[in-house]
Amino acid sequence: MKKVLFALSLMVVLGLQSIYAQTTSITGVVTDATDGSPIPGVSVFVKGTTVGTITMPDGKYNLEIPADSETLVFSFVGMTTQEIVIAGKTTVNAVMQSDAIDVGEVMVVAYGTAKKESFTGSAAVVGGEQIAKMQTSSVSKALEGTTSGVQVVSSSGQPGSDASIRIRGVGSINASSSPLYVVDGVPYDGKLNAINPQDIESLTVLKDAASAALYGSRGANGVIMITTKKGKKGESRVTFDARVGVNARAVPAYDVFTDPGEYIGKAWEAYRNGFYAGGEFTMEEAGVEASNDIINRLGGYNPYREVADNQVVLPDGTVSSAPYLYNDNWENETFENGKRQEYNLNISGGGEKSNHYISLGYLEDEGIIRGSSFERFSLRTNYDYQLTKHIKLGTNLSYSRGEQNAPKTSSGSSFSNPFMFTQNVAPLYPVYIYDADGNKQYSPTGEVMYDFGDKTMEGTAGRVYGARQNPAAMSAYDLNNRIEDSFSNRSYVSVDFLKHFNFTANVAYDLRNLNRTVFYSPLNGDAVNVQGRSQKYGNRYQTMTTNQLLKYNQSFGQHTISVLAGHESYDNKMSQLYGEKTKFFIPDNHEFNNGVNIVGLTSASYRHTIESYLSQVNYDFKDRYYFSASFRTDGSSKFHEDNRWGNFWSVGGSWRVSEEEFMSSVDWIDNLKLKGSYGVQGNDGILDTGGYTVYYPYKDMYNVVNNNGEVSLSLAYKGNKDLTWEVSKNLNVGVEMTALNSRLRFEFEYFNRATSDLLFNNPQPTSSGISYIPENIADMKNEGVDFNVAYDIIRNTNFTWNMAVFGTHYKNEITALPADKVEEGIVRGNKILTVGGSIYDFYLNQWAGVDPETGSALYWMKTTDEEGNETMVKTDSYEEVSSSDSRVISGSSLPDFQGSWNNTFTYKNVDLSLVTNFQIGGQVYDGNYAGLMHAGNLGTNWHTDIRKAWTPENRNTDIPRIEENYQDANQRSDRFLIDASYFNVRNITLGYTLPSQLIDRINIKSMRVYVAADNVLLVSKRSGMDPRQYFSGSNNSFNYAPIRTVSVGLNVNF
Amino acid sequence: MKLKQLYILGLLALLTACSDDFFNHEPTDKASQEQIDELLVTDPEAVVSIAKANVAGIYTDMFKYRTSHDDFGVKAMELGSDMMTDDIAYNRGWFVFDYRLDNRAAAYRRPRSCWALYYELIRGANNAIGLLKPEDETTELTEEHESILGQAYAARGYSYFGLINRFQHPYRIDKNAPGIPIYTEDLVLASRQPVADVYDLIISDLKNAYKLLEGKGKSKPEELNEYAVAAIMANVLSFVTDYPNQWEEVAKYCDLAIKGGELLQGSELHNGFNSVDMKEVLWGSRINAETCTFYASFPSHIDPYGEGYAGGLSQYKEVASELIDGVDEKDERSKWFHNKTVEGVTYQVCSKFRDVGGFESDYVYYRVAEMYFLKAEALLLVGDESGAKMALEAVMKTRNSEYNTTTAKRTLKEEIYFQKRIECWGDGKRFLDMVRRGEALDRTKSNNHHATVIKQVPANDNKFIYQIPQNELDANSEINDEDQNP
Repeated sequence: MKKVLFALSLMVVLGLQSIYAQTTSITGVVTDATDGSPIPGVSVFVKGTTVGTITMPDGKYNLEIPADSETLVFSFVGMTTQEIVIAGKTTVNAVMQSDAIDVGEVMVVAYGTAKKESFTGSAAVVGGEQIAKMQTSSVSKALEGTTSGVQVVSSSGQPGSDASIRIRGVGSINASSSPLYVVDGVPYDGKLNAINPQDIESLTVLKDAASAALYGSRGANGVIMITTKKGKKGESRVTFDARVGVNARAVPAYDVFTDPGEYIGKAWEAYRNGFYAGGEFTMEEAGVEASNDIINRLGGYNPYREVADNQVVLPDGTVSSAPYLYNDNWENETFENGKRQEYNLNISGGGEKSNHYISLGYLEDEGIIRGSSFERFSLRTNYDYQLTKHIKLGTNLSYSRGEQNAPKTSSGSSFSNPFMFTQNVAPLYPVYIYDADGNKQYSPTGEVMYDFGDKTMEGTAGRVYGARQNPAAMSAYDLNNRIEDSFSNRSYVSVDFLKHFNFTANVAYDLRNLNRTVFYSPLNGDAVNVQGRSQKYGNRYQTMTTNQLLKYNQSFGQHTISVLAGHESYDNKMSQLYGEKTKFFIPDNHEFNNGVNIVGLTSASYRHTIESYLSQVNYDFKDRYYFSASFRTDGSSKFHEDNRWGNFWSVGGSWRVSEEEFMSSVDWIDNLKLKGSYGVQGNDGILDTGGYTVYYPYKDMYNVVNNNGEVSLSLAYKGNKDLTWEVSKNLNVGVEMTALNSRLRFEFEYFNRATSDLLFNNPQPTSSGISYIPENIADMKNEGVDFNVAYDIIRNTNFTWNMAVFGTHYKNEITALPADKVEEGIVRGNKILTVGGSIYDFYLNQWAGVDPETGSALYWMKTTDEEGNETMVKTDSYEEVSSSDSRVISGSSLPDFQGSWNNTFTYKNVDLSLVTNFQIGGQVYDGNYAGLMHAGNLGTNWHTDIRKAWTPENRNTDIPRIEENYQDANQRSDRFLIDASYFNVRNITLGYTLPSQLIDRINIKSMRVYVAADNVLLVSKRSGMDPRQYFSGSNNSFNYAPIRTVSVGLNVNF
Repeated sequence: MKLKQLYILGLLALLTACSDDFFNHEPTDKASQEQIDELLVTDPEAVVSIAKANVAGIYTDMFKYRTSHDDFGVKAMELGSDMMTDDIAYNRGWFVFDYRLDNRAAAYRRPRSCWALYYELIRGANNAIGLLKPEDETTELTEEHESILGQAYAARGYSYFGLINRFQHPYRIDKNAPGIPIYTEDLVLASRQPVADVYDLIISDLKNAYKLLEGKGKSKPEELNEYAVAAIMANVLSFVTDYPNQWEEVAKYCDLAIKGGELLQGSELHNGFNSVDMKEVLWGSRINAETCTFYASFPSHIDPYGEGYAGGLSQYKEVASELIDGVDEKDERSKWFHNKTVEGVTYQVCSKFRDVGGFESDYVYYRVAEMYFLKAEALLLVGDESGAKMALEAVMKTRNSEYNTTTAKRTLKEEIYFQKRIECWGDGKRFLDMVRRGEALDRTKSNNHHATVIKQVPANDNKFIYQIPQNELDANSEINDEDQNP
């Protein structure tokens, strides 16, 4: 295409050149900002004259210009025209930007597209190349640090897992707060990891009512619109991208003991103090008792060669200095740096009547746990065809196959979770089985033997921590495998008629089939006594969405009006089959035909349907004043028929101030727009207390359980017929500006999302036998600001530097609770909801330090003094504290500020980008740390902070004495709250584009090599604590740590 | 296709509204109330089978897994209580804080799970009673209807009995002390009701149950039956110190219960106590491969030779040495006690409970032997010493054919109490006996209680009652901080 234009322009320009006499010569190269490739055919003119030329095939130009020339103008179809001051230079290079990211950009919005300058709502566009840069299998994780107002929480680093996203605060309490995903114009229920990020053209985040209300019922938490790539008219383009890298654990383990001797010494101290506390022994006698029994107490594991059990720790506390028989590091033996490789090939192009985009992708990511991996094969074809002058149709088809192998659990407090196990197991326990001489033992078939702590190792009586488990061995014996086939289709037919009308019908079908096997080996671990256990799941998810849209668009002079009316129906079905068998014959065959006892067999299906009528009016006057309004009504199967339908609407307006006469003199401003919108959206996504979707929340439901061949019924869910839509009222006011020749881009918005009739699982007294009832109670608001600033700090021919800063600050506030709960609030675990408080306010007992005399943990207790005043006094009895209900609101998990700071540099052919994100404020209840600060839970590891625990010699400390079974030492209190601020280097990419001279000869359009690193650095308050894994700030489970991936890549365009 | 046709198609599509069928779905993973009501419309007789299923639901709720490996229904609560007594010596693992009498605070799991369990059973019972209770008392009920309604009453009385003595001191101490909330099929009293009121309800429920179940025998030991109700009633009345002719009544109900089974003999005592089909069982839960709760189960925690926590993972519940020392060597039950040596350390374990494998053992709640001991105690307390001796010997001779109360080294009362402790070791009975009789906890009589553990606690100390769980206080506006147990 460029070549054709080159030829045309050449003829025009050549004729003009020799008219002027007093000339000097000027040269330069024009390159494409996106890939650094030279652009032939760019018009180069002296401003205000017809003196000009066009660039040659190598992007170079040579121009004779009048001596008094001041400015050169570079222009090219599809690119932003640039003016560069000559200032006496003889070489002027230009880097051309595609005008797709400038004013005039067409963005994908609800049920259509809109020009950015005419858009009245709040939407952020993230370009596909920015997403493709991140090395994640899921687009959800790539969003981190790309725009403001979007909070990304990756609770698991497991390859192939999706992140959770919140747009502008947390909108719901017990209903889903996740945004709606829309792929190619139609809501998408599939897994995000089924979409190859490399296929994404752009991603639009709709944040306010004017942009999202057209999605009515489902847009209350914002909308993320994913648009996949399409072919463009012109010659075919082939792109191949390959990258290969290595993974590492990005967030380290907590700082725990790794030395067996140090652990045993501390364990002995705790044990001795336990004997002493029993009251029967003096401290010296207690020391003797502890020395005699400590190895036995720890399960008979004596890691020293030739040291008698009672000599390992002497009664005075001295730990043997003999060499260890074994000293395995659980972390090193369980985790390994897996490979990551990804290959993508796509072909795109188009002719007069059709365009196509075809892509193939392959990803293999081995994660960081031995045996955990994600492999994806993806295929996509997008095709549009102009059937007649009026009728256009198209279809997007994608298929992906994802296979994930993972530990059985990688979150929560299960011993099979390697992240928990490796940090919590005392370092004295070996990974492998050793003989009395310290040699690893091997099975008759030559495999190394793992110690499951089940007395197999000679001399041991059972590991006191996590017996029957060994995370290092599980990958060799057990299985947790998921294979998902995802098929997705978007098809449409669009008909233009009567000049101003268009009718479009869309049909979308998403299908996902999941096969999952969880196998517990009969050889070792949990299921030895039942000779193996296999669980198999077959799930099928399908969604059919159809809509019919009628559009009208007409201009009358300076007025333009467009109207949309439509109907949509959504039908989501899920069915599942689950079976479980035990007693397996061949030890490594998990198939049911190899097992004999059926211990579980269930199946069920679920359906969720929504029907909607929608309409929208857009009006603009003089390309300067814009107005939009929408209305939608939705019926949802989640509600009883009396409360089924909800009405949602929005109004919005914008004013391009920069187009006004009075602004014409302010020439440093390119574009200035003020906008505002208000609207109402809904949410029907109620969840149960476990976080699972409830399909029929208006019904009382009973589990049907086998009671020895008889039906037994037990209430499983207490429904509520009065339940109806949760409503979100969303106000947005903002300003957008582009200035200084597009060097500065600035957006600032204020938002106020007020959610009312919150879908809420209202806790009932346990004595009622019902734990909660879903109700529409409580109101909440999220009020805040977000901003995006981008500035080209340097914009030279050879060197550019763009810096962008995004930020969001919001305040979440409960504004109403049911009358009977206003006074006391609603307590939910370690949090409380109160009017004026936030959704995630901690409600905790207060830590009062350590008694210097006894080393006891002290807590503040609410009490009434003689005059009847309520005061707080210190006590060392947690039981009294809990019976006096001394909990106090203790801060919130929500951050004060979240932001990103991103930089892009180009120097000649080298490009470098840096994506970072950070959070200031907020708290985390670090339950994992609390668990590692136990007073003597023998067998469980300690955080090294325990070295500072109280002893008679070390009285001035904030860490209580250690003593076996001293429960009060680490009870839940504000002691374990910690600042959630962090700074994260999300991605660094360094690229080099080969000079065109080098590659022209081998028929390659462009070639770039690059190095990319993800999750490079996390700085948080406590090493090992990752505040990004939780919205609610309760860090009570050890989750799969994020992965740092460093890859080298190659990108070639043919 | 002509454009005109397309317009028509498009307009049709726009106008096509979805019908109610599009929205009204019924669950398939569960049964909704609407579906159940539908069954009643087509077949009014179905009320009995539905109520039957509701009662069966109570039975499954009695042993299902809940929140944690020490939270598996009634047996978990009974084991938790046994751990608070002098019968079991223990050192580490699950239930250790029960053993240390340090698992009672409002924020802890034990009070929370105990409370939730029994009130869930009560809710199920109320549901069934509501379905089946006749409008007026003269209505003739079918035999099956009576049986199910009787079981529901029995389950409710049993559940309140399980709660009341764990959250307040026994009746004897202060019958007007605040007890627990009362929920019935038509009544909600959400504040703490006096202990006496709770007992009134329990006794009334059990009487109703007995009347409805009387004469129907024990067709299924996994269902509450007349003998089980009599056994519960005997236990309940043993607390109610101002009940008219208290101990005569207790003895009467013991006799009624005893008819429900036959004492085991000799080697039968080594069958593992893992099946409700044992002839001595009055009532229990039948558990199978599908409904068993694996590691979170009674056999896992109690069987020292099994694969679970107690055996495989070395969380041995030891028999207090005073019991081992005191058992007659000719007593068949002396063979329950073994020394198990693991890597040089000896544990004094009990082989009474043996898992059938895969943790699929049944749970036993009441069996005949217990009733003989309670009967003996009751008769002794009314001064019928010879009756008491007869009752004791009746059960003891099956354990030790040479048994004779006259040769026993203990007083008759001590003997009854002591032999009951051996007989019911691990059965979840000791705690109720201790608090009812006002016995202090004295672990110094055994030498295998761990040195670090609390050894002596005065009778009816606050350590023996749980605090009302925090989540109840948080959600129940009628129980406040000042109503909390100290």
